[in-house]
Amino acid sequence: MTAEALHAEAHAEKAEQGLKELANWITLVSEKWHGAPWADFLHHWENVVFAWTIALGLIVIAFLGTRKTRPIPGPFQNFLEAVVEGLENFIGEVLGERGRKYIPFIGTLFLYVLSQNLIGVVPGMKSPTSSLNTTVALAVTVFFYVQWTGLRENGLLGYIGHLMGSPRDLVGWIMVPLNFPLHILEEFIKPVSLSLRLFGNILGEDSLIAAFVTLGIAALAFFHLPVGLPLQFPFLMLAMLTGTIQALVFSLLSTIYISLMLPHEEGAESTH
Amino acid sequence: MIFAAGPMVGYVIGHWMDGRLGSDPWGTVVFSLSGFIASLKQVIGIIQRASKETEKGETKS
Repeated sequence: MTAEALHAEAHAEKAEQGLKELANWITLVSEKWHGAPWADFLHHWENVVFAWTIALGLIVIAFLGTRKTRPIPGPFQNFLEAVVEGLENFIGEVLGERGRKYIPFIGTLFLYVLSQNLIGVVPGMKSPTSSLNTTVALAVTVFFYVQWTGLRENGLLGYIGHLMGSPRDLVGWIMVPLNFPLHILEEFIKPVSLSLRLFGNILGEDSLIAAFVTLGIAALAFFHLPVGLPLQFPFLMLAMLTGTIQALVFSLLSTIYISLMLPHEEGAESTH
Repeated sequence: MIFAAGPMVGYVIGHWMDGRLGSDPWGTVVFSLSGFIASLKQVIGIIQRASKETEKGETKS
């Protein structure tokens, strides 16, 4: 890491008074052209810029992969089909055959969160999911989607009945004053836990990498070299692993929340 | 994380209600406790769901 990047990092750290993160290309641009409205705009909306870049990247990949599909696929089409099939199997195991219509949403969610988590490992880039704003946005989207699914699949009365704990007998109805507020609280706990879990893990990883980069530079500071020891390398591997796991957990929990909202199958065990 | 989020959500709602109704500290206490119970309920629901999936998978194989 160059001295300029280190300075940018120190400036960012002082400005935000938060955990250290490595400088990215926007930080360097805003340092170089500090005071220019477009540079300050980019710096202010850093996470949105990275999130949109990733979204556009995924859109381009999907477009290129589905532009000229062939019965005998080429390598790129084959790769995309393997990814989609993997997602279908993963989501299908939780939701079953009735859950096929949710595969586009959850599959896209998984790929988007995964890409956002892993992009931070690339030098000069930043994980948008290391910001609470991004993870809250994702979690709130899932929250509204789950509630909308509940309303659509159960109807309004069925949805309210679900929130009351689906009372079937006298005991069920007696428990309604307890079940109803608890269930409403549960629904609000879901997006909070989803967002905090993802944010905490990704910010923690990025801060760990930044700390070891700083340590690596400090280790060679005595020799006044413009580079540092690559002490962060094992943590880049760890970041890739935990980034993948967190994307999986986010998507799996979203899938489970959708499945909990769906009408119970005949003879199925109630989870309420 | 669900166990942390539960009391957190309950605290926020309870604190807001205390501000509106002047029931400090009871709203905060009751809702924080309710949040914890709701998070416990949610975790048990998720574990039950996951166990059901594991059993389904074992039956298939």
